[in-house]
Amino acid sequence: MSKDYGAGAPAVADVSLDVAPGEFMTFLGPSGSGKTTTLNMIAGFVAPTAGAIRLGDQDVSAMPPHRRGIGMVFQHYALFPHMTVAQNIAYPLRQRGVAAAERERRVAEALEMVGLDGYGDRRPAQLSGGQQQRVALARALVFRPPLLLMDEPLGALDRRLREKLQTEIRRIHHELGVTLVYVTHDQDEALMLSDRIAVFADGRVVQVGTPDELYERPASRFVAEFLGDSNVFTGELGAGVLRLPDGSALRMPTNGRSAGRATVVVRPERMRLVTDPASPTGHNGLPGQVVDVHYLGTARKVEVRVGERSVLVHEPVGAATGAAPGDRVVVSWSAADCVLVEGAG
Amino acid sequence: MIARRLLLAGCVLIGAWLVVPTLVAVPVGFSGTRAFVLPPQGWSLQWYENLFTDRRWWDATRNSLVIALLTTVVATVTGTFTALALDRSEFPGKGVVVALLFSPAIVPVILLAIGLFYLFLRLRLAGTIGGLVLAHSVIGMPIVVRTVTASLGERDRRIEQAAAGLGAGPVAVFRDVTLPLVAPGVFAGAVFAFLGSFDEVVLSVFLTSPQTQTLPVLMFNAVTREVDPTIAAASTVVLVFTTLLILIGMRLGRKGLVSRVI
Repeated sequence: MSKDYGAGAPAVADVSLDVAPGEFMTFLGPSGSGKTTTLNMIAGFVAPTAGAIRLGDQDVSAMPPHRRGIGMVFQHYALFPHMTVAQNIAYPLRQRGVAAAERERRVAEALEMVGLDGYGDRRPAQLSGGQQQRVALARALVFRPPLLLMDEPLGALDRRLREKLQTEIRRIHHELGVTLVYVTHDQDEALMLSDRIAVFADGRVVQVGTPDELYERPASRFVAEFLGDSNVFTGELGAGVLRLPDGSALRMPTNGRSAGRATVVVRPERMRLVTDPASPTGHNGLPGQVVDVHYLGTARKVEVRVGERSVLVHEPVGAATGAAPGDRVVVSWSAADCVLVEGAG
Repeated sequence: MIARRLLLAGCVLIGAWLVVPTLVAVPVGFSGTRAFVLPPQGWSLQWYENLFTDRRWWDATRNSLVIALLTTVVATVTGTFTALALDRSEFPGKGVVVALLFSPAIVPVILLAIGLFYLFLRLRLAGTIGGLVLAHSVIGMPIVVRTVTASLGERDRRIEQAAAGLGAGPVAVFRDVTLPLVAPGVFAGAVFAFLGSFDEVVLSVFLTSPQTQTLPVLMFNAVTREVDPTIAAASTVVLVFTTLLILIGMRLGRKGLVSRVI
């Protein structure tokens, strides 16, 4: 489907996605990449300019939001400020004509699910941001929608709370088996939560895959750089080597790609610092000088100057070489860890 | 330190300048003699007694209340729906429509009064309660549009989307979410529409008949023709009443809506 607001490039162009029942699908991308617009089209708040949205066997493209029966959680909670927590959660049940006793039972159940038993009589303004988002989650799930949409639900919360709620969202997803479409610009969140991730850029989906597929085999430089740190090399592809502009050559599997300009991505944690300049068979070795070292707790992030380029190496803390700024080192990695990506830039 | 004291003195002076003239009438209303003298010679409640027993004063008070209440209803309903319509639609010339809407608040009231006087003579509305309600609503409605528009501007549209996503149709969204969210603006607008009508003089002087005379018109006529401390008693009652209304309005429209209008 597409959405074109008329001025400039379309907000969403030719996005085509299938989400399996019970799947946790994340739309990941920078702001303005079309992920939220796509979500709003699924919810029915924005009408697609072209294309169709199907829920199961049903085409819902022309259906107003209140008939779609999709749960949604917003970044800023969007709770009804004039209603109590219990009234908020009961609202979708009331719209569906659920009897009062049943309503009460399900509200209590939903409050328990999000760990807020006993908060029913409070007003949203009396709750913290994290609690408000739990209420919003309970409200979006209480009517048992087959599909739950979440639009950067943790974007307004601090880091620790975010991690806690991530765990809870995963648990609830497992318990209820609800299909979930989750929008975020936070790559760590996407990697941790999702079954599959669709990476958005400029209104298009540039790659869809499981978190490890996307991380280990990015299709493009954009995906590689958006998901984690990466070292990018561009040069001329030959038989089993990539010849860099400075004359050095990287060994790599060419996977039947024809010769020509090519771009290769290597993840920093695939690289090691060694002292022996002679590379073992099947490995690449680039000599350089350590410029900077950052300690991250789980790893040491070492910046090495190799000729004109800067190479980033992540050393696990348990196997650190203790290289310090100024040291001469060789950056070494297996040829198999070179990932050829689309495009020459 | 000296600067601070000077500033304080200045503030007190300006405050006194704003408030004291309004309060001058209060002691006169309790005067024991039939004279507008300060300080009053002797004290009594006879002017209050007169105010509440004299038919003239009582009728005028009743007229004012009836007209103000009806004006509040007309101005609040039309103003609220106008604000909602303006909020929902984008069309060429919207700016012009908004400007026309607010023009009664900008055009000198005397011009409006003369225009309405001739129009109402033809329509046989001059001197009727209905005519006065219509005229006062012309002044009151823009105020309601303004307070409701301010409330609408502050609301989070996502809350309405959330309601729709949870199964609420357009009518339910309006009833359950939009209206409660803009209620402070509606209440504030209603209070000001009431007050605007209750102490309106210029339009009323042109459009009242002896039967539909309002309290401010009677006070205006009385003060130009006779010297009677009942006017002072009436002023005091009006002052207390309107102050109470403003306080209520400020409580209801906590989010600074009231202060934005004043």
